[in-house]
Amino acid sequence: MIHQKSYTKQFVALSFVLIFLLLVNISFGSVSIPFSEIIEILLGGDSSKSSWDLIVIHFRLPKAITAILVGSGLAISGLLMQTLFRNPLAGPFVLGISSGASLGVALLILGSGIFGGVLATIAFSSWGLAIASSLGAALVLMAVLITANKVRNTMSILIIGLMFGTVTSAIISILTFFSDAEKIQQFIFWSFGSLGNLSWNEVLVFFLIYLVGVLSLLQVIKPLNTFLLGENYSKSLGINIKRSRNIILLITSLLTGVITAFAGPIAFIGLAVPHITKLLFKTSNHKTLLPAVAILGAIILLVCDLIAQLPTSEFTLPINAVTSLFGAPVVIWLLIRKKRIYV
Amino acid sequence: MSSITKHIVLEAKNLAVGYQQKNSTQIIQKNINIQLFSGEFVTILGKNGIGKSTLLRTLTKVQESISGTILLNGGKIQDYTFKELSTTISLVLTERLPESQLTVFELVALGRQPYTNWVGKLQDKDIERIMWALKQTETEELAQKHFYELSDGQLQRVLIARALAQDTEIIMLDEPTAHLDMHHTIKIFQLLKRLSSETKKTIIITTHEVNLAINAANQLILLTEKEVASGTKEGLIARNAFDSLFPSEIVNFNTSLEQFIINNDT
Repeated sequence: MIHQKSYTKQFVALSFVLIFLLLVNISFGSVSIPFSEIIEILLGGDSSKSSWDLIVIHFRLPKAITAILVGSGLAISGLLMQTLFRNPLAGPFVLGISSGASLGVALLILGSGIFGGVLATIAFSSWGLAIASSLGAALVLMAVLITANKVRNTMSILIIGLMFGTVTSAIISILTFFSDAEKIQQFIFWSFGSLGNLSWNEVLVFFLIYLVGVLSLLQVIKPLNTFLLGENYSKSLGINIKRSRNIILLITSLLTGVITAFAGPIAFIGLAVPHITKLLFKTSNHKTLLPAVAILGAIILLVCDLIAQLPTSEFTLPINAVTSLFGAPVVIWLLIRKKRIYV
Repeated sequence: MSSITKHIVLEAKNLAVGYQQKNSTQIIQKNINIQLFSGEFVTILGKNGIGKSTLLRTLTKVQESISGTILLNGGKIQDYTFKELSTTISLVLTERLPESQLTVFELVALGRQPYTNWVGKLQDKDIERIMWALKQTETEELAQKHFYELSDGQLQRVLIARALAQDTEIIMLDEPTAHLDMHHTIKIFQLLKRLSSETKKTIIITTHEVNLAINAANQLILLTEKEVASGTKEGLIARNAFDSLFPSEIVNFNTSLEQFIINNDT
């Protein structure tokens, strides 16, 4: 008797694709390094040029790992929001977290122009940006959590999140209005998103926070599946709705907060990867979906990063633009073919 | 049915139901005194807006009562945690399920959640129970279909299977025949009636199918503007309780037919 489909084959195949893309991603860049040398460096040996070691170990590898963390984290957050809000248009940024992060960064960069002083020196360090964006994200998260516990209806949280997002965007507009061109440009560059520029220390901090978020998922697999039936059924199945909802909101905020802090606001992945995964896997069971969106998110962001590097050229496109340019048509195509979307 | 083995599963004493807001209390029904026994098929009847769903929600602790007590197997329902309730009462609601790709098997399997481990792994016993629930509701053939492919009648049986899989003493259904035609409505009534007598579960439904309910139910609960009356068909007829169920200008209860009939002049 077949009761539950097994997805082992798909997972093995996707894992191979992920490893392959990781190697391809590391192999391409503005400096061309032979593939055999890349493998040599990754296995801990020395390549024929010491500059190649430096490029691979200190630039390409942390960047590829960042892409994996960002892609999987955003995809997981998107799935959580779509299930919690039972809304296929929800994504990791519906709670206004990214707007909060943007506000933090805007206050730092644009504020340094307006207020000057210490802010100006902090604004140019990457830790400064990460901390400002985390603080901004945390501020909005607290506001959302406090109000979320005052309203019964989960849909209201969605709208409250959107409202917080609107307010923060408005504050950013005002800050931009009073800033000079140079500062505005710096802020716009941050909002393009970037997977590179992270040192190993930063990648480590990123990874540890990411790990806390992902491990917390283990607690909510069952509640997420009951949410597929709606809140009243969840409750009658013994689920503590408020607690589960808070854990889900916290995980999403933690993941999107840390991602926005280190890589900027990256569009599309969180909204689209869950849909692509559901179309490929044809299931709504979160035990399968969570690892599946994580792997697919990582794969898709590695591909986007590869495109952004414009292999063999010296230019790099903003990753945020590539994810949308590459992703939106894919989703449209998938939906036209399948004609049905699911929460 | 022998009354010696009867066991009171759910009891309401001087219960008042309604909505409590910060500074106003809206009581919808009060002085509700009912005793529900194991293996009974109970129907809650009343016109629109009289409080059937409110009563059902209060009896399942989805909603707080205004006053009075509800005893579940002798214990106050307030003292039950939602976790404990999940193995005692299961629900079939009228609300639409959110869109998803759940298969019928997966949907029914969700009924096993109170018994499974942290990832919801199904043991042999769980699968056995799910297959039993599918068999009872004649939905085995549908197991691998997605639930959105089902007709309303099939979906209703699948939702009943989910409640059966939850393995509770009590199943409460809110208007289980709301979207169904006559054939499927009667089929659901027969199914629920049979399940209650064969499995000794207490099955409680709200319904507008008064004539079917009068003949099928072991106990009827009538919600009217004056009072909440409960009892067997015979007992309620003897008290003329059916007369006040609806305003008399359009439908009336015919005592000899034991049915509501439409007045001739309408």
